[in-house]
Amino acid sequence: MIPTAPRGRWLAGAVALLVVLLAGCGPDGTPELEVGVVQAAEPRAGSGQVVLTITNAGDGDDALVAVETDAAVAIELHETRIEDGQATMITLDEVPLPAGETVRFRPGGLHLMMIGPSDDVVLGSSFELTLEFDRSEPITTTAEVRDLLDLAEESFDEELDP
Amino acid sequence: MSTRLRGLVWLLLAGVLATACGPASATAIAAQGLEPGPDGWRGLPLERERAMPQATLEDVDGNEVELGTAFAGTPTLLFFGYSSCPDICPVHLAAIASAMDTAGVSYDDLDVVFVSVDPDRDTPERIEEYVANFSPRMIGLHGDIEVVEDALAQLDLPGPIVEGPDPRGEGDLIGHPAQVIGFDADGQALRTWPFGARRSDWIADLPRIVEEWS
Repeated sequence: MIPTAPRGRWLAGAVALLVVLLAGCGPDGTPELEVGVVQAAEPRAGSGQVVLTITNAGDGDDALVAVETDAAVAIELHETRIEDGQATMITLDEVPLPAGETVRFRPGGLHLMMIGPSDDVVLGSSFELTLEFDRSEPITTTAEVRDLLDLAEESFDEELDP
Repeated sequence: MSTRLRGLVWLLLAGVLATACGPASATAIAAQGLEPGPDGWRGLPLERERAMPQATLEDVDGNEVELGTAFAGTPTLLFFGYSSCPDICPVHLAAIASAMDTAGVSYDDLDVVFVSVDPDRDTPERIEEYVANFSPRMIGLHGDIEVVEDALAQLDLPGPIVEGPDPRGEGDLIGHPAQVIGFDADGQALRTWPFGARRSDWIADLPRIVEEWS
């Protein structure tokens, strides 16, 4: 053991712990992404949305940067905000997936908007989509098409009883 | 190092860690659960009286529609939105349309009115096609943005605000009131239904609107 005064050893220990912990939760860790059940709302009036959950069980941050599919012209990352009775929507370039966090995409909040869904996206059908991330490898998954209101009301329930 | 100072260092360390790891990003949707009130209504009572705005708009056939007179004599549900609105609007309108069917309420006894806050893009043809997605019996209206803004102001509702470019490359995303407003046959606004109203809420309230507000 390096001979140091007790006080210095304590401080060194604190600094070392800080370094280790920061490495664990910062960009240097490894993200481990898990995608839950993927559902899509049956398109109404020319747009639909994909409902899903991404959990980052790893110790490094990541971000969702794009979603690709053949079932729509594009899928955009959106967030609906309701403040003082005013509903607004913003388009996001990426959605952070911090280490240890779960991020939910659903009606009325963060959501994945299908722009120009193709005609075969109908109730009961399914389609493939690929999630692309800042750091992790892309994940391809299958979305089951369900009724918009069913998905919206399930998401209201989640909000009340998360 | 004093105990107090040592505590301070640990506090600082905890603070740095909390900042570094970052809090969970907020995904709250601000949906409100519409618990039935003591009177059984799911829609929320208005805090103060408001009347149907005095504003002249146009229907999809080009006819002038003065809100105050056109919908007198029948209870009316009024919603301000736009046809490119991809999240709030279709959920509201689909829920109302579904509940109208289930509850067996006729559009003859209750006017369901959609007013566009996006006159640049919402042509009469587009509005007609849009509301028909939910029910061909829903009434779609449009007008100059100044008229729509004035109607919103008369209801103490926030005006339309441009939020930024639509990813579809066809204009802008627009902010609009998130709630549906219910008027009785005399044109008095009595209740609102915020985003988060379910089909079951509408199935409970629609027959009462027709029965008690006509």
